[in-house]
Amino acid sequence: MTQTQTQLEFGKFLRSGYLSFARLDLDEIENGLAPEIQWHTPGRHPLSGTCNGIEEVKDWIRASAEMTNGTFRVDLIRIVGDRLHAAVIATYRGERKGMTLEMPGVQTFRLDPKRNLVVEARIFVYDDEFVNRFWSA
Amino acid sequence: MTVSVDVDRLRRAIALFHAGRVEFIRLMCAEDIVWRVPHTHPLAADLIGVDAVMDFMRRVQKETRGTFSAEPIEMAVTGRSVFCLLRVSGQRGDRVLDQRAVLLWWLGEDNKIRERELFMENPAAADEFWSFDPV
Repeated sequence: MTQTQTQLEFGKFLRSGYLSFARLDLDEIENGLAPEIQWHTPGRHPLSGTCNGIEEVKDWIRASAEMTNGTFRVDLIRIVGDRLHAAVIATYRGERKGMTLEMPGVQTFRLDPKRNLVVEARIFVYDDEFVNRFWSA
Repeated sequence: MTVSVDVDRLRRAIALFHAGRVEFIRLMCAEDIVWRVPHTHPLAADLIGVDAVMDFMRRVQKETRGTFSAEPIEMAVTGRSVFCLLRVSGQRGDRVLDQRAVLLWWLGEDNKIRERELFMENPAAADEFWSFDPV
């Protein structure tokens, strides 16, 4: 497989993961994550910290949906990556307690190419003060 | 069309670029580059043009007495888009900056940087670091 094909495959893989996230299809998401995955969320709010393992990541996804009455979503803008790493540039959106989240952000991913599973994900947001207020309210 | 980019060379260039080696900056940036410095600290701004970027990097080095540096951790290139996960560090007075950041570069057809975006892992700490008056 050429490098470009591999890049496309990882991009397609991540796009598919985000579509599963939008549908809250946790079984489908689980298929793309390594058992030992580390999922980092910055800031000082209830979703901040590191999720260790698939079950904690699924809890995080469930909580993000529940806390926003299902309005939390990630609109993809672009995926930049190779066969090992990728950055997903997106707009994070959601409604919560009278607040509207509409925030540029990046989530980086590290892939184990032998298993084709994500072993690390790390979120970066543009305005962490607002994100802290949004999830802490 | 896929652009051939030497990732190891790019990794070294990113480190030198952030160390304030201005000869690399002029070589790597488009004349009309848009260089976004996020958040609310005194250095935050959308800089337009390579001269503004060079002034900015000189100021970063001056403000940190030459201690500011960026170490690429992970990077990837797709077409003309470059992503780099960095560890940025520096010191101002007794304040220390040491955190991860994501750098995004959009290259033009000549492979020069046309636009730059930056996301810090802890923007509040970065704001505090650059707002602090060490005098």
